[in-house]
Amino acid sequence: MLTVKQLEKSFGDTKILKGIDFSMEKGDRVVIIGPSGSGKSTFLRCLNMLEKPTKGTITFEKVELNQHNLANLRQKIGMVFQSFNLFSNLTVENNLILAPVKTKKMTEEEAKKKAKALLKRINLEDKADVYPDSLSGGQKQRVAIIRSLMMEPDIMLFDEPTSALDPEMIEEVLTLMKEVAHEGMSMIIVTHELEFAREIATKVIFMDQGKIMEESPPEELFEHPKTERLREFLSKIK
Amino acid sequence: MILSFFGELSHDFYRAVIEDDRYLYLLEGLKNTLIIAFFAVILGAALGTIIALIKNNYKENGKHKIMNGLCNLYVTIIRGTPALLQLMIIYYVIFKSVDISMTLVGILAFGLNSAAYVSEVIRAGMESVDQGQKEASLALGLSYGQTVRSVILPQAIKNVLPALGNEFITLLKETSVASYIGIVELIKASDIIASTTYDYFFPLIIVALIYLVLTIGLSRILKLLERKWNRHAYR
Ligand SMILES: Nc1ncnc2c1ncn2[C@@H]1O[C@H](COP(=O)(O)OP(=O)(O)OP(=O)(O)O)[C@@H](O)[C@H]1O
Ligand SMILES: [Mg+2]
Repeated sequence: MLTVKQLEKSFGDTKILKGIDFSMEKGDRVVIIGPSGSGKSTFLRCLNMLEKPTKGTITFEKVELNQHNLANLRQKIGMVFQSFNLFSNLTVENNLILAPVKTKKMTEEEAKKKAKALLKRINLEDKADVYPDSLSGGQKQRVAIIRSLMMEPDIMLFDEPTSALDPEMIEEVLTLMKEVAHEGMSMIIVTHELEFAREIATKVIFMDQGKIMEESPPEELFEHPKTERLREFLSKIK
Repeated sequence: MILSFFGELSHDFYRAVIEDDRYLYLLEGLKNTLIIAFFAVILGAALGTIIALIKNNYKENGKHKIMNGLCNLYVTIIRGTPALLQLMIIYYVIFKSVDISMTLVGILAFGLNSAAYVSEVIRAGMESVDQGQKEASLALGLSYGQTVRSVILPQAIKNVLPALGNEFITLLKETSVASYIGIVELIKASDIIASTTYDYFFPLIIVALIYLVLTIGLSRILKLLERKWNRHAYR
């Protein structure tokens, strides 16, 4: 469903992504790990063109991404950020219904109904009318996840969704992500939560210095790392 | 001795304000000052927002290069020349042979002037909005325009509301230069009174007091509004 060919990205003169080839099928759950600065976020952000690739192509469901079909394709590519990025001028409910209503995917009524159901699902139905400022980090991230789900995306990208959370809130977010995974959502997740990766990934990718260094199912990648770099990385993170 | 001093004072006051209903000039001046400042601030905010949107869209998406250039030119010219000069050009050159109300000329001149300053304030306000929220909105598939309208502008305006309030206070005082082309605002009113009574003391003191009451009162009100707004909004 998603194919990336020879993706390169430079900021000024520094090449951050140095030719990435990648592909995944519907229902795949890809976890990306790698040291800080290796280009994981940049890669993820290129996939929905929050960063404009310097070279290479991204093909999503047989359509190559370009400036003209971007807004349309973005509606099918959900994204969850480390810093939640809820709209602080809108209530939780309005955060949820903004995109589906503005993009005419749903009527306001339909969107409100769906928002209510999703809020109920994450046990926050009483928070519909509050502003994001008054939520805890874990609540914010769970709202951000269902905000993405509101658009009924075909794939979801997660960039370190639990890294900004207090430890006691990490679990509630991972649990919701696991639920979404079990419903068959295609996902690409950048995370340092290796336990979680082992549990839900169909494939793990190790990135270093702007390249994909290793790519295998979780058991294999974690138990039998092929490169010295990955061995080193795993020993540090454990 | 003292009695005659106060006697003289009250006599001067009587001549400046009450005799021949001269207070009517002051009321007229107050009315015009308020009308010009109020509508100029609205015109300035509206036009300033448009300029800010054009400049922001160019910076973010490289769109409307020529419009952006014109906006830059406009802001540079307005900020680089005195308001009085702009007023005179509008009155003596642009509307030279047009029969137009003086108040309207004042509103136009000060509104156009204010727009240049307000546009910079709003532009900075837009840039100070959390980039992550902009990205989240784009990532959901909203266009840049929708993102500005629903996420960026509401937050930018909330952030710059105090600055816009100050702009109104500045305008209140700045409208005094309108007296130069004969608009009867507060200064002109005091001038008219003084030139018939040959005494500037009371006309000027009274006008000074009116300005002080207006500006101090307004900034109090703005502070209260700001506090109320901060308590209720976004929480
Ligand atoms: N907008 C930008 N301008 C310039 N350099 C950037 C920009 N964004 C990222 N970089 C650089 O690109 C490199 C890769 O950054 P990236 O955020 O993709 O790494 P990462 O693997 O996600 O790291 P982390 O684990 O710390 O999040 C870093 O050296 C970073 O400084
Ligand atoms: Mg990152």
